[in-house]
Amino acid sequence: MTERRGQGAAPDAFKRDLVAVIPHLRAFARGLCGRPDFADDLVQETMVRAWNARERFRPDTSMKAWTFVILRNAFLSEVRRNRFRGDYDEVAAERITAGAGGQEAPLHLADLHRALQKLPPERREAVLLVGAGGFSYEEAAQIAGCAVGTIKSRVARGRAALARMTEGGEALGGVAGEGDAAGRIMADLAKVVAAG
Amino acid sequence: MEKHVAEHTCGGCSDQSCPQCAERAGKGWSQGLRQLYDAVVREPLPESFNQLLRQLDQTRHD
Repeated sequence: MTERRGQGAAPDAFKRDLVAVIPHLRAFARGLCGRPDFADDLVQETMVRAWNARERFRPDTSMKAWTFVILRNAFLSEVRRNRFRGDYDEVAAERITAGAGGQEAPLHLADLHRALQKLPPERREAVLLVGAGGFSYEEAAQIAGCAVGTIKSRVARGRAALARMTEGGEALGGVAGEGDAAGRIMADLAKVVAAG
Repeated sequence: MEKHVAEHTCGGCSDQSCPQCAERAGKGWSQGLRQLYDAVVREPLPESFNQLLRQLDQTRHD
């Protein structure tokens, strides 16, 4: 068993905990920025920042929550530099979603992924933290650096917007004529691919 | 409403007030969000992450 050294975690324990949260950091980052390549850049930036600050990590706290704070700060810095604006990648989105959820779901998930990217960043973040990342409202509020009521409001508004975008066949194909919607999406994707 | 009485039989009708369709749409995006997230969590880590971890490890020995 490794022991604490000063305020920070022992390096081996820190590294082990950091490695364990990488898959979650990748999932959160991909949901935030929509691009697998940018998302992995963000995660690696997060890992470097976390490593450099490891003496400040308290071993009795959550590595996942701590690194999510670092990641969202890195993401917001990039947003402020306009790196992600209007840079949504349809083909990459299809590639991401084709691997998720088995055979019945990829086209629905491609639309959901697109809808998620249309949310304002703070609502996207809130929906991801609570709806996918498994954080409580209180934990999500700490990560986002805001009041619990603010997170609840962002989640509610984000969820409402996603439901609006994905109902009535607008985005998810499963409501009004699944076959038609699937055909439409495949046609759209084919155009994107053809356009190179 | 008869077509909505049996369980999941409407098959995606165009009625905006259809409770089955509303329920399916709600489940669709919330479960889908989780599926998107979990699919990335299950992905094998690209080699670049292992390289970075080795580099970080080096820094504590330097």
